[in-house]
Amino acid sequence: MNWESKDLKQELLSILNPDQVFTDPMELSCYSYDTSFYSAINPHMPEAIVSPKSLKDVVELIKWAGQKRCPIIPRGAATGQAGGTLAISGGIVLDLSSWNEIEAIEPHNKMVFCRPGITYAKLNQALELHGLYLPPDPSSGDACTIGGMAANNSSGPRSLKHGPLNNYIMGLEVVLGTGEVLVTGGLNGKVLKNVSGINLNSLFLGSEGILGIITGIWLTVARKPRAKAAVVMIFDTAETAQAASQEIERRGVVPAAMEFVYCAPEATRAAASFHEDLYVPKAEIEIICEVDGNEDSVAWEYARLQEVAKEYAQAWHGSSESHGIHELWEINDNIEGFSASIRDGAKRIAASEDVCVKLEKLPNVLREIQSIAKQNGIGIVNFGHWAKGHIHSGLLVKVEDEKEVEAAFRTADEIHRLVLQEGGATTAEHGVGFVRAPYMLEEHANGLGWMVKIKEALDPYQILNPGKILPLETRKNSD
Amino acid sequence: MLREELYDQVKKLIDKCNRCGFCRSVCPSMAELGWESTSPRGRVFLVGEVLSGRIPLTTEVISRIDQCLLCRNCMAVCPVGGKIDQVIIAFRHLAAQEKGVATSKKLMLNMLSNHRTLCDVIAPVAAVLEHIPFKETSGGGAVFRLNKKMRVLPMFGGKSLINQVQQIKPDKPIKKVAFYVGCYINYMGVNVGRAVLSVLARNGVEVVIPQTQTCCGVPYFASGMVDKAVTLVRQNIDVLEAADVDAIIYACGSCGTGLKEWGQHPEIGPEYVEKAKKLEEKIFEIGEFLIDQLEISELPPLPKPTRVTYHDSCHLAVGAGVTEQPRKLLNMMGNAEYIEMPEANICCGMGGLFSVTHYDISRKINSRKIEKITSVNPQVVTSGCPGCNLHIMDGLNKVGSDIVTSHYIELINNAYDCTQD
Ligand SMILES: Cc1cc2nc3c(=O)[nH]c(=O)nc-3n(C[C@H](O)[C@H](O)[C@H](O)COP(=O)(O)OP(=O)(O)OC[C@H]3O[C@@H](n4cnc5c(N)ncnc54)[C@H](O)[C@@H]3O)c2cc1C
Ligand code: SF4
Ligand code: SF4
Repeated sequence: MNWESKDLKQELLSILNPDQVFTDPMELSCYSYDTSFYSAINPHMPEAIVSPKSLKDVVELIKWAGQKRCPIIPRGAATGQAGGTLAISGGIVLDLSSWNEIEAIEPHNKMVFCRPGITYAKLNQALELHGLYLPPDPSSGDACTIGGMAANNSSGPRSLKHGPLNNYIMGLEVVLGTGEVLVTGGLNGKVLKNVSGINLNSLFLGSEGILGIITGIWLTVARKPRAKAAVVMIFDTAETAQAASQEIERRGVVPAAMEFVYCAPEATRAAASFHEDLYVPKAEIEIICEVDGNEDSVAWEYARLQEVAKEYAQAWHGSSESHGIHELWEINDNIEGFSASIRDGAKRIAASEDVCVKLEKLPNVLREIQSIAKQNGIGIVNFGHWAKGHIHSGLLVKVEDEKEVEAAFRTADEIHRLVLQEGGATTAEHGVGFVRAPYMLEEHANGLGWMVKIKEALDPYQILNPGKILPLETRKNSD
Repeated sequence: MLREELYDQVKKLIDKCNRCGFCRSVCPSMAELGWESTSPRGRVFLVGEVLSGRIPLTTEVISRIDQCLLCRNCMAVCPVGGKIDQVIIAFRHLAAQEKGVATSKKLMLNMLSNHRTLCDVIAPVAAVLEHIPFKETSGGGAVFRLNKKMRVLPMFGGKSLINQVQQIKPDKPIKKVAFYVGCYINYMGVNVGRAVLSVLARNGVEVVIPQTQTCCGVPYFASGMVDKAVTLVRQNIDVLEAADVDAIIYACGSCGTGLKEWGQHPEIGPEYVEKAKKLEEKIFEIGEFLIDQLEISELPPLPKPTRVTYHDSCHLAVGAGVTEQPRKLLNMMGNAEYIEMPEANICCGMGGLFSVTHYDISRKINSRKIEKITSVNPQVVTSGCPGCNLHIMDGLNKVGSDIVTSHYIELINNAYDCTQD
């Protein structure tokens, strides 16, 4: 995109205060990356970074950018793994992480209004004082922002039972590409049930900053469950694991979380320091299943989990007290850690980490993914959300070796293509960003055309996060 | 030349970072400054860029790296075990060599190494003269009489502790330990030092204070004056090794982390690294020693009911992993009504010389801490680091609070004193 400013800093200073703007290359370089491996290899420098602290700041900036046709890239904590915050066509990165006030907590209404930069963890800290919490729990929750979570429609392990962020959004304040402010969910009508009008909340959830800048978020929150229990189960094959997980649900359990690790050979050694009997040399899958609720319901569900574990798993351990549950999650993490450490000198990277397939295809797709990595001569660790068919793949790559870097990108591409062939989704929570935009046409066909039309309506000057979700070539006025 | 050497040394550490951003949420300096360049992830990235020559060593970059307090909170959450402190120190080493260290910083640091005898002479004189412009606060700080809101400074403790005491020997000692005093306790926090000695003696421990011990080296590493740090570390290792004791005790969070990690500085040479690693097993924080080694389970009560809280010094908690023991001790004393403050582990903003060179940022970080302390309305706030205590005292003074600040070992010693009376 061609755009020009004779003195960018000066122009920005007519909108923002001096302490809100940087154009110094050193500062800019720190915005050339996110968590994606793509950005580690291909950093993209923005031309300026700004830190808006009010709606007025954002509106004026967007109006100015519209006139200039200057790309605007919203950014939370840049924990995204898909290159969503990269200035791939230059422009200005909006660092929203310091605009982080919680402006209202209404415990009786189970409602919160916050600014985009507050982190998930900090929001929960404030809610905890009222016995409340926001259930979707991304693993990056200590660092990621609520704005980023909304823009990615994030979820976490416990979204199995409690759903992703869109279940908790009552309304959004959004600045569109024209500078117009739109409040979704009814201007004043923030209530717990609402079907009034087309659901514009969902339009912006997962829109990754290409339709508008999210500047305010009304969330409904939940009471913390009174009790929890969990079991870790080790299975010889993915098929047995799947039979067990189906049986858990058949017996009436509604698991809060069901996470898995595709075990590297000997990986359950990592569990042996906790419980020796969890060491099953030839295990293929480890699963942790957690239930939550009140004391009675959890006791009942925990009993069912134990029954199934006894019947199906090669080895298992359970607990219904917090220290023990914490330990079970540690076991899960350690098995994953072990599986990720099997290649000496390799680094774990994020390149193809978020696909989702039908449950019936999960065992085979997992094995195929393992073999794609093997054929490309790199390592891989697969883990994720078992009961959703959602696979995270960490590639294990010797990043100093150019050939391995190429092999990594090739592996990522082959995994995405495999999943498309199998009727799956290329991303289930991390977002499309820049790195998965090339698959959008194949994945959505004419759906992509409609996405482009929506984008054009809300962002007529094509300034908002260009090249993300929609590949650059789909832009109408491409120049 | 140095640049390449340093890059070689830390490149692996830098490359390990997977940019997950988890460290962003715990960095006190980022919480105030807000930009990615002030986050641990940003700093690790910038150091890599400078050492590899992709970004020039400008004053702006130096300033970003200087805004790090070396509190290590980032390291506590880093999933790949990133040694961010070593990356920062390597950068500061280069900056010190190529751009020099600020004269004021150098002057202060030189006093603690090259001019220790002068310090020994000045300290008792300053302790007397200081009372003219300054008034002593209950926690051992000095408030300027003409402007009580000015920064609370340390009060000199008279003759330095090392010059006062060489050895304390109870009847039939059960163990013999060396007390590593540290500069602050030696000159300013003499009462803390005395409390350590007396609590140890009361528990049947013989204590020696090796006379030629010197600064632990932490402020020199932190300032990039690595050569000087190496000299100091070697001197300490020799002295403590020669002391031939069962354990080495410290009571200052920052010194302690320094001591325990001498072996992680290859600059001191393989022979000293080896020695340092051997010593490491014997080094204990005072509370850690009382609980884990002496296994004490009883303490006398405080003279009257007192609401007490505890602040985790970053270095003690993250660096040395000491969090439970001081709390256990405080809870052991009758009349001590222990209240845990929310987020007891957030940084107080002191960061050694950081609070001198970056007083404004350090004050802002401190105000968050003061909010947490006052939220539980204690009568006494304790910690295991005299540096943190001074800065907390300053913050409490700024908001006009009468909460008393104390090293927790002083409170314990006070309990013993009162029981004896
Ligand atoms: C180790 C690790 C674990 C993770 N685990 C999970 C997980 O369990 N579940 C999950 O869902 N994700 C996970 N993620 C991915 C990522 O952390 C989440 O998607 C997170 O919600 C992104 O938040 P952020 O603040 O970092 O956003 P960023 O990365 O800064 O931005 C993400 C996208 O949102 C846009 N954006 C950000 N803020 C706004 C705004 N205010 N308005 C409009 N657009 C905006 C950006 O342009 C970008 O496209 C993980 C990442 C890592 C590194
Ligand atoms: S050591 Fe402390 S101040 Fe420095 S980068 Fe890490 S968290 Fe931030
Ligand atoms: S937590 Fe560690 S790996 Fe993650 S960004 Fe920070 S330094 Fe890098």
